[in-house]
Amino acid sequence: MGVVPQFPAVEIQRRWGPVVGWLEKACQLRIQLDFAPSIPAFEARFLAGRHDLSYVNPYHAVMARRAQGYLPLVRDSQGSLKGVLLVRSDSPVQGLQDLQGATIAFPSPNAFGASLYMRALLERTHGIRFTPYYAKTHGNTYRHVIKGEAQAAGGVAATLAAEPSDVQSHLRVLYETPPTAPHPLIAHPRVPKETQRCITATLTAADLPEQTRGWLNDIQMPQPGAAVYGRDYQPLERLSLEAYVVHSAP
Amino acid sequence: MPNPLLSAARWFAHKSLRTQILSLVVGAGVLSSALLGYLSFHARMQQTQDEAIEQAVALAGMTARAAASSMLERDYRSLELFMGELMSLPGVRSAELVHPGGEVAMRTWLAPSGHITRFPVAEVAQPPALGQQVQGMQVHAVAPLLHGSGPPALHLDRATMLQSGWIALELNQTDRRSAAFQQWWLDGITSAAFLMAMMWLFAVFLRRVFGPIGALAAFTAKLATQPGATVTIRWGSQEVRELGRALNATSQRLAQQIQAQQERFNQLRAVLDTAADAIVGLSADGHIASANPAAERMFGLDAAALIGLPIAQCLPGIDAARLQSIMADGMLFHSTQSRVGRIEIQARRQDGTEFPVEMLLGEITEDQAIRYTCIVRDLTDMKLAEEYLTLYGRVLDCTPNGISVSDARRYPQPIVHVNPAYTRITGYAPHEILGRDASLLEGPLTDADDLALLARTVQKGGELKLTLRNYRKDGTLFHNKLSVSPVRDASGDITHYINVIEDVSSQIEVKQRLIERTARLNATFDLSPDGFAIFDAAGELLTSNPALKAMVGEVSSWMPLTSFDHWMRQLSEDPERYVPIAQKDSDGARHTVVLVRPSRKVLEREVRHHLGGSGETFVYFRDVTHQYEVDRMKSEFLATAAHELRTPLASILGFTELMLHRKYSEEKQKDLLQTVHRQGNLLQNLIQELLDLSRIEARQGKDFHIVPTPLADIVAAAVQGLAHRELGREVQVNISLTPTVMADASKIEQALINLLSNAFKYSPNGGEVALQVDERERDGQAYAVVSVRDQGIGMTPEQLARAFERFYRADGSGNIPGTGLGLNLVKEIAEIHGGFVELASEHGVGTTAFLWLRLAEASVALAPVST
Repeated sequence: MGVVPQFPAVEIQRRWGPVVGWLEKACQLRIQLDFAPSIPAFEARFLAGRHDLSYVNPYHAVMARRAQGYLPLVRDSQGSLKGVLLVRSDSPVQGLQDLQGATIAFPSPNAFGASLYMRALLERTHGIRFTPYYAKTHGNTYRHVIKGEAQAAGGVAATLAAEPSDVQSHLRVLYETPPTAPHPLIAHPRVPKETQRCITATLTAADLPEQTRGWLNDIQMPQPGAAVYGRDYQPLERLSLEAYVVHSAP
Repeated sequence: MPNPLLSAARWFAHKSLRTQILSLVVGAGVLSSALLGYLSFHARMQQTQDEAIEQAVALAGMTARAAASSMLERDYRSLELFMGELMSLPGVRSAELVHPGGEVAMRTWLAPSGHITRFPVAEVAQPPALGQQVQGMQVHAVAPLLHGSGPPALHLDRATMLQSGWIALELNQTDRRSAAFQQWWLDGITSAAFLMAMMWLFAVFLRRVFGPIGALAAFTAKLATQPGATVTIRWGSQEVRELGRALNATSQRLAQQIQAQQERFNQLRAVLDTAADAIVGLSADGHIASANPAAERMFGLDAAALIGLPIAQCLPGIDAARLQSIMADGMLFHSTQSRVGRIEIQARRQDGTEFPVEMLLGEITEDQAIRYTCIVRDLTDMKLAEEYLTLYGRVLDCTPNGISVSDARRYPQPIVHVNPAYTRITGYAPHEILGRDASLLEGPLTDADDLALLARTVQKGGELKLTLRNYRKDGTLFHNKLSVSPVRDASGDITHYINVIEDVSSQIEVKQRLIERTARLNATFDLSPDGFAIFDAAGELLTSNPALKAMVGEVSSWMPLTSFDHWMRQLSEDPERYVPIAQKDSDGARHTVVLVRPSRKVLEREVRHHLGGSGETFVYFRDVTHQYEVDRMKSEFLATAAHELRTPLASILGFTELMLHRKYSEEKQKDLLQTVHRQGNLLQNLIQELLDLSRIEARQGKDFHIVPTPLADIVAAAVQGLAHRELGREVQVNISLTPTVMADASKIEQALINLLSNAFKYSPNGGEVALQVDERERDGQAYAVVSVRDQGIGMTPEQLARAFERFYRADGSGNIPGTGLGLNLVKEIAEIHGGFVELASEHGVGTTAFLWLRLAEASVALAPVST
């Protein structure tokens, strides 16, 4: 099982460990977490069909479907994925136009809300010319802005909310993307249907105990619900984001 | 101004050894502990700082190596997490990461609410000196980020540092030092507690060591006042215990010595105090230097008054010169080489009275205070005693009893003194008996048992009084009433025997005669058939003889006369008419007393008061019952016989008178004459039987010729003799045995005829009369039993009881002829033969008479005879 490396591997293990254990127990599975050093490396792995299960961003779900026929099983039913553009709270930048020619940090080229979708909107919709550079993780992009190494940073609302208040207090949201369906847990077609149903049923079960709710909060899926590709992710295919996808060697 | 150090040293020197040792050890312990604590505190603090520096350097190097890659990648998120972890390490306060070129990448520090990370914008830091730096509680350590492999070089120059970037770390060692201090404090407390425990143990040990020594010291101090006391050491060391044992032994020896001295002193003191003689010490100039209690008593002054007094005041005429002359004239004892002077003079008491004394004087040469010892003996009592002795000697000489004194300490107890009476009684002069023992008086008739008793008593040291038959010098016998008493000396040993003798020969003769006479009287008294009772003047029963007891029953001794009278009155037939013995006018009068209990008796009683002038009452009883009964029976018999004789006579006289005065037919006359004849026969039978009875009674069988006789002959004669009288009636004789009995044949025949005649007469309606002979034994005597059985009218038990009475007739109607004497005659005859007669009867059935006759020695069986 792969998890998109929005956080360092340690953090991923901490957040996902309990949920993985829970699923193993509930569906009689043996799940091993596969940590990728970076998002591009991660992308290369699920595009190659390395993962049976994978927690990916919405555009990844589209890419995975195209490459291997992965289908989304579960996503958070309440929240939505919103890309945010941040500047230092004391930054003189007041509008997108102030960012013409600026250096903007993104987690990775293909990070959906924070990078892919954001870059597409900045360039196509708002005609902003900027120099992107990639700081590997959402946390790094925020800190690079705070450190002054970039004028702005692309992120998503969920990861921003997960940052310490001290970090948040040094940042200011300059711009937000329209909301999209949040990150899904996708399954490779080789995973038996029975297992897929079990996973879906386990995660979406009602009346979960408080501890389990805490685990689900940690993986940014407080209210899991069944994901439907056609409804939730197929619309992304129309955004023609292929142009912004960076194919790099993993 | 006193030197405090000197004062302390003096105070210390005066303390007990235990306190000194304990103080020294405690002081040394406290000092060394303080020193050790101080040194260990510093060592521990130094060690803590060194450890903190080492930790800071190590942490800085480690952090630099771990963060280097992230720094190059500018992965601030990872670095921030890492720094956060670093801040959570103990003591780490802040860290600063600096990019190559000196730009500060981030700075993290510990705040009260948690760690804070800041990313300074375009801040450039100056490269610090490598290594570590200590500022107070803060330890600073710096490590280069890019230095290749291996441990960080300690002396990189600043240019190299700028080139590689660095991490600066700040550690605070406050917590570490605080923990170290706490640990030190804890160790200190533990050590102090341990030290105190050891001190306490040491103090206990010292107490154990010095406690017994203190006890021994106290004991030694006590020894002078309490010699003989012992000390017990329970816990002391071997040396202490040995010391204790040695002290105990010393104490015992001391006590023994003191006791011996005390005893000796007491003995001497007792000798002096209890001496009957006055003992005074005199100085050379004749003044009293000491005096014993006897001297105080003798001279009437207490010791205090006596001492210092010139001896001349007590013993007039005795002064220093006289003392010297007495000593010079004194007797020299060669055995002790001591000289003793002796004089007899008059002494004077305080009240002026004078009395004779003997004065013994000795000389002491060693003593300064006392030159002479003077023993003064009061001779007053001795002189008095001499007078008394003379007096007692006179008393002994004058007493009528003979007195001899024998020496019990010598054998065979020789007589050492006799008085004149002794010489008079025994006939022996003093020179003949002194030196010999009392066996001189013994002779053939002297009772050996008495002598043995005397010897035993003397041997046991007892007293004895007895009467011996002794002999005088002239060989005549005399009864010696001897009294022997021992004389004991002060220690209780018998020294002498006093023998008092008295010639009691005449008294004993009189007494013997009296005893003999009394014995004779008593025998008479006891053998007499008459009863006697003697009451003393107080009215109490003195004696009664067996005959009286037979008459009136057991009479308790000392029964008062009034009780005896009461008793007799209860026994008598007519208590109202009983004349009491106590009545004075009964003296000499004879009274007849009829007793109904214990058996019917007629007694004649005679009383004598004031017998022999002693006030005694003599009562005499004579049993006259038999005489009384005979008289009564004679009167009764005469009356009955007269009556029985008169009845047929009246018939004879009546019928003959009728025939004389009237004319009767021949048949009637014959009838009347037959009646007269029958009555005449009856009269003749009556007279004959009366004559037989009177003869038998009068002669009491003296005319009986009782010889062995065949019973069968007697029976045959009797049956034949009866046959002509009782015509038409037969006797069924059944004689299976033919014994020979002791019998007068004619008398037994008459008895059998009487029995057979009765059997026929009392069977008026006929019926069988059977005679049978058996042999039986009773009370060891063999008898032939002739039984005569009829089937007649029989008798009631009342009639049977009276059947043998004279003139008693079972037939009250008069239809059956008879005299009422037949059975009585049979009884008399049987009893004279040594046999007896018995009747068995049942009213209306018949009567059987049994005549028991003694068998002759060799009874010959005869052939049965039948008639």
